[in-house]
Amino acid sequence: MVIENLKFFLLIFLAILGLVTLLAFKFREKFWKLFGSVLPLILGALFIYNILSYPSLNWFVIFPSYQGPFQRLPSNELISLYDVGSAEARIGWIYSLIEIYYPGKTLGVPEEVLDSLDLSPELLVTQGRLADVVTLEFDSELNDDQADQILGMEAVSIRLDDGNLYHFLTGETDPKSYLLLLKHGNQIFFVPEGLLPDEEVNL
Amino acid sequence: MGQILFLTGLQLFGVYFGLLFKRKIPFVFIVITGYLWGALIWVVGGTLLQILNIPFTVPGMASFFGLLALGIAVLHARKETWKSSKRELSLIFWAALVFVLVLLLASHFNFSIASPDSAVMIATGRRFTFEGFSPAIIEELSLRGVFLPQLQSASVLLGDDYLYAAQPAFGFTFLLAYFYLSQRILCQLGLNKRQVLVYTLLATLVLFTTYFIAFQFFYIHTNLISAAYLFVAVAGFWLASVEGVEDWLVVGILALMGFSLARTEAPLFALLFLVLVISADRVSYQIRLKTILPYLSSLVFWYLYLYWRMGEGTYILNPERTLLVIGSLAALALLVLLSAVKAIKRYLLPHLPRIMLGLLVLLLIFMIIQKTDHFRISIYGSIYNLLETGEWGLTWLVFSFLFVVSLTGPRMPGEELLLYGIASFFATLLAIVYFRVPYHTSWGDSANRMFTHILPIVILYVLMKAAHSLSIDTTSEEKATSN
Repeated sequence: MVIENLKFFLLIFLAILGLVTLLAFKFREKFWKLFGSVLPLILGALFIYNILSYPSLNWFVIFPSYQGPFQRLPSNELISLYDVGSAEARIGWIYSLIEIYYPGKTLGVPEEVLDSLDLSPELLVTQGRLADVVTLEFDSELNDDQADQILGMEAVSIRLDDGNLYHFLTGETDPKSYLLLLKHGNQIFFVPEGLLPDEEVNL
Repeated sequence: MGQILFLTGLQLFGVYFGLLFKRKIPFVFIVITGYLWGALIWVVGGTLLQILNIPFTVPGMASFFGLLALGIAVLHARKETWKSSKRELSLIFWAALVFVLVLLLASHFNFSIASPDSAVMIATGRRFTFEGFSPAIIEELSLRGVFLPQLQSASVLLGDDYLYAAQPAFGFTFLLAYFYLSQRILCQLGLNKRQVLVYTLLATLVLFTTYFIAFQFFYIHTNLISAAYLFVAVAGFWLASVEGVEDWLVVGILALMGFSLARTEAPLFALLFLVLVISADRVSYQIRLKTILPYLSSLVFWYLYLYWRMGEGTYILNPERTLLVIGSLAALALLVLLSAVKAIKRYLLPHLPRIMLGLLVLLLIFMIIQKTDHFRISIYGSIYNLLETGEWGLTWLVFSFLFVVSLTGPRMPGEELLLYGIASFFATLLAIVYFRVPYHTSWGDSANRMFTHILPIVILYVLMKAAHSLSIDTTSEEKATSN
C-alpha cells in the first residue's frame, strides 16, 4: 500500500469510521450480530492479503545500503549473521569476532595501521579477549602475490561499513604466537603468526 | 546440537516448574508455555549470579538450576503435583518433540536477522561470561534491558557463536500460547466451540502472517519476547478475574516479570496493567500481597542495583529516570498495601482506570505544548509506520478501525483491563518520546517495534467484543425459544 497524501487518507479513514460508528449506535443489536458474523470474513480476507502481499512487502530498507528480505544464512556462525543477515556491518562488531577466533592471543600491529582502522586497543583486550595489543615495527602492507597466497588459506571474511574487507584466518597455531594485522589495499587480514609462510613478513 | 539441547532443557525445566500450578492451570497451557518460564528462570538465575559476583560458568548455572530443581521438587511433594498421568506424560513428550523439531528447523534453515542493536546485545551477552557486570556492561543493560543479553550469554557456555534458535523458539511458543489463551478467553465469553475455533484460528493466522510479526521470528531483538510475555500476562490477569482462579494471577505476574526485564522502560508499561488489576478488585488482598509485592520488590531491587552501578547512565536510563521508575514501583507497592482500606476500596479503586488515563492524557497535553514539533514529528512518524513504513501490511489499518468500532459494543466482563490497558499503553508510548529523540518513519523505530507488544492484545479485544455480542445474541435467542 502506498499512501501519497496521509492527511487525505486519514480524513477518509475517519469519515468511514465515523459513519460505521454511527451505524453501530443506531442499529445496536442488528449491527453487533452482523459484526460478529462478518469478523471471520474480515480476518480471512486479511489473512489472504498477508499471504499474497508477502513478496512485495518483503523488500525493505534498514539502512540505505541494506535491502533485507529473509535470507538463509550460509552458516550458523556469527560472521554470517553480521555479513548476510544484517545491516551494514560496523567496525565495532569486529571485537566479537576477534573474541571468537583469537581468544587469549597477542595482537601485533604497526601503530599507524591501528590508528587508520579506528580500532580501540582497549576494546580489543576487554571485548575481544586478546591477551594484549602490542605495537610492532614491521611492514604490514602485503604485495599482490602475498595477498593471493594468504587468501588461499582457510579464512572467513566480512565487509564492514568502513569499506574495508576483513579476513580472519583460522587454523591451529601455537597459542603463544602473535596475531598479526596485515593490509593489502582495502583488505585487512588477521593472521596468526604460525600460519604465515616464513618469507611473508619480517618481524 | 548443544543449543537445541539447551533450549529444550529450558522448555522442560519450565514445564517442571509450571506443573506446580497444574491443579488450577490447564495442563496444556503449562506444557506449551514451558519455554517462556524456562527462559525467564535462566535470565533471573544468570542475573542473580552476576549480581552476587558468582562466576557465570556451567557449574555456576548448573548449581543454580540444581538447587532450584530441588526446591521445586519439595514443593511438588508438598502439593502432590508430581503425580502425572500417562496422558500428561505423553503430552509433555510430544510437546518436547515438536519443540525439538522446530529448533532443528531453525538451526538448519537459519534465517536470523540482526540490526546494530542485535549485534550489541549478542556481544553484551558474550561479555557477561568474561567480565561479569562490569561498568561497560551495566551501561549496555541500562540501554537495552537484561533479558536478551542474559539469554544470549548461554552461547559462550555452549561453545556457539550466538543463539540463533532462541528467537524462533519464542515465536513458536507465542503462537501456541496466543491460540490457546484466545480460545480459553472466548469460551469464557460464552461462544460455542466451533465459533471459538474459527475466530481464534483466523486471528492467529492473521497475527502471525503479518509481515512484521513473522519477520521478528528471526530478528534478534526484544520486541517479540516482550509481546509474548505481555500477552500471557494480560490474558492471565483477565482469566484470574473472570474465572476467579488466583493461580492465573501468578502466571500473569511471572509473565509480567519476563516483560519487565526485556526492556528498560517496560516496567512503566507493566505498571499500567497492574493498576488495572488492582482496580478490578477481583482477587483477594492476601493473594495480591503474595504476588504483586514480590514482583515489585524484585524490580525495585534490580533498578536500585542499576542506580548504584550506573554512574552517569545513558540517554535512555540515567540516575534521575531510574529513581522515577523506582518511585513508580514503590508507589504501586503502597497502593497494593493500602488497597484493603475501605475508603480506598470504595472511592479510589473503581475510578482508578479513568484517573490513570486522565492523568496520562493531561501529562501528554502538557508535554505536547512544551515540545510541539517534537510530538508532531513523532505522531506523524508513528501513524505513517502503522499504515505504511512499519511493514504491518493492512493489519493495523484494519484493527485500529475495528478497535474503535468495538468500543461502542456491549460491555463485556473484565473489559477495563484491556480497554484502559490499550489506551494507556499508547498514551505512555507517546509520552516517553518527550525524553528522547522523536519517533521516525522506519520499521526499526522504537515505537514501531513496540507496537508489536500491543497488537496481539488489540486483536484479542476485538475478538472478545465480537464474541461477546454474538454470545449475548445467542443467549437471548435461547431464552426466547425456551419461553
